[in-house]
Amino acid sequence: MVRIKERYLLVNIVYPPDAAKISKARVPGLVAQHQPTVEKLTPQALVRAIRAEVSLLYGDYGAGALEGNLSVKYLSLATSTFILRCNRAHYQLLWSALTFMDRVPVKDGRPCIFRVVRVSGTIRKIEEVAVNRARKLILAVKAEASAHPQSSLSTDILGTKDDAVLDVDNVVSDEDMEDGS
Amino acid sequence: MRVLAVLLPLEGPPVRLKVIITAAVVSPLIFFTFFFSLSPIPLSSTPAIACATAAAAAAAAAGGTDAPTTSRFAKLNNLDTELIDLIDLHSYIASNIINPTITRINQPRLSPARNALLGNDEKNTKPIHHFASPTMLYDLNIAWSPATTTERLLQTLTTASSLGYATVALNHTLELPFPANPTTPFPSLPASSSDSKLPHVLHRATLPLADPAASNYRLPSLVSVYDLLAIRPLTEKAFQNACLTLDIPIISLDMAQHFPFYFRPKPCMAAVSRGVRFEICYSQALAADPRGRANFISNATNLIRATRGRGIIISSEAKNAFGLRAPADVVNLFNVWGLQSEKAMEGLRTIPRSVVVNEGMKRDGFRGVINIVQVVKKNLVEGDQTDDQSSATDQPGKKKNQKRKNGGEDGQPISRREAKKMKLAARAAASDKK
Repeated sequence: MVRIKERYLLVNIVYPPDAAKISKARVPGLVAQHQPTVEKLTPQALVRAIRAEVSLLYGDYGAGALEGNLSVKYLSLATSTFILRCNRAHYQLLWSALTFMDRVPVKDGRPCIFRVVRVSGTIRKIEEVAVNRARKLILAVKAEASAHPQSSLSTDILGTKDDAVLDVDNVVSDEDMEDGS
Repeated sequence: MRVLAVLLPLEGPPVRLKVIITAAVVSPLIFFTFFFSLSPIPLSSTPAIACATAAAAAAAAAGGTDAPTTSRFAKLNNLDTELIDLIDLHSYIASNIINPTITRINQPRLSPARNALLGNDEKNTKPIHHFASPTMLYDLNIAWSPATTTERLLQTLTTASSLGYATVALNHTLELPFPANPTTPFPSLPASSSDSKLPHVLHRATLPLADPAASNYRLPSLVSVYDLLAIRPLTEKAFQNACLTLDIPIISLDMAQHFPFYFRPKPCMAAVSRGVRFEICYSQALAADPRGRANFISNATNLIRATRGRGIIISSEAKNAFGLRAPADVVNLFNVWGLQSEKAMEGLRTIPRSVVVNEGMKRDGFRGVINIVQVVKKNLVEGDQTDDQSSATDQPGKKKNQKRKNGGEDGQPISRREAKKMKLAARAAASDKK
């Protein structure tokens, strides 16, 4: 019996910072970007919203493809991060639905961007990435706070992060091989 | 069509200049060397050449689309040059490689016209970042209109920067009877500070085009004001015209609407091979109603099919920060719509970069072909060579080895290339004996 292949998506909720508010509150842009989700977002509500979006975009086919194998593995409102699990065959469908979502799926949710940060075949790897990202973010914010005028460190970290995201396909293929063996 | 050129002095500036035109024909850079004498040229009064003669310069050059650049080369031929080989420039556009050693030392330049408009002098010009790294991400369309507030614009720009876009273009969609003397309408943005990092901002104009017959659009008058120009064809005839004849770098389409025609491969491929790029703006799909979304997907897949995914620029046309998406998300989205992820990645990186560099060159360069990158003095080049030698001799182990090999017949250490050549010759001789 072959084991069921899955994909795990690490997703960040990004809130574009309000320029006026930042300058007033003196909050670094990095912090404003990764602010916590204040709404009472539950995993159930999240799954429901994603299902609704998928069936809006892909109809019955999409709804059926994700039926029974879409679940929220981890949801942290403090860091605005969550991990989704879905079938390997349909992860692109899920991803594109996330791209089309534009606000926090609760009543009167704020507008936001759902940004897929990592796609992986194992939950262990994605957990590592999530931990790493959180740590780097803290370091970057600290660096920004301490050396205010020249915070090149933070930009460097963000830059490498972006590169890592763009190698998603490589990562996926690596994981594929891992799965196959 | 693009060429990289490096000018190096041989003797005194007025006598002879050695010009190396570097063209990336496939992946390796092939060097073409030719000489031309400057004395009989009537054009030495133009600033670029004057600069070259005065300082003896290293220059990088790039042209635009096929047709204009060939004519430019005809002009260069008039300059009593011996062009050894007309380079296969066309394939250069496909590979889009710029020699990193040259590009790294690029000096910041903006078009004088734009500087005058901005009230800058040469010293204050911002560096053009496009030469920095080919892996940089571009978003060549961020919607801007005079009604856009600076706050909202800043929010969009900081978001774009944090999502990883290093260069964005503010897009001003013009209405057709535009003024005779267009001025730059964009507000001046504050310099990027630590709490709001801004990407490099370019200015772009998009012209909606319905009537193909009208040729008096005064495009040249816009060239000096905007960094980029694009056409948004509204009818089939305008689309054909834009594909086949108009001299613009980008064709941008409003894909959320229904077109009464479909994109045929022939004009589309003709446009791509001519150097014109198609732009697909994903934010149109994000903002559209279900009908508009269906139209968008249909149009996008048709265009991708017609061009086979070549020459497609992906940009956002975001009206606010929430219309932006992270590059990986965009790549996945286009992958779902049938564009391979490598090509989608190219559409965010190399293709918009080639457009930006090309357009910059058209505006700054001498006749749109040659641009001065850095001034290299003759003795400096020699100094480099001696430096190389000294660095080679610095390493004691290497020095010892080479001494033993050469047997002290001359003090000169053998270069790697020479060693390889000798090795090959020896091998050939050995095989001949057999």
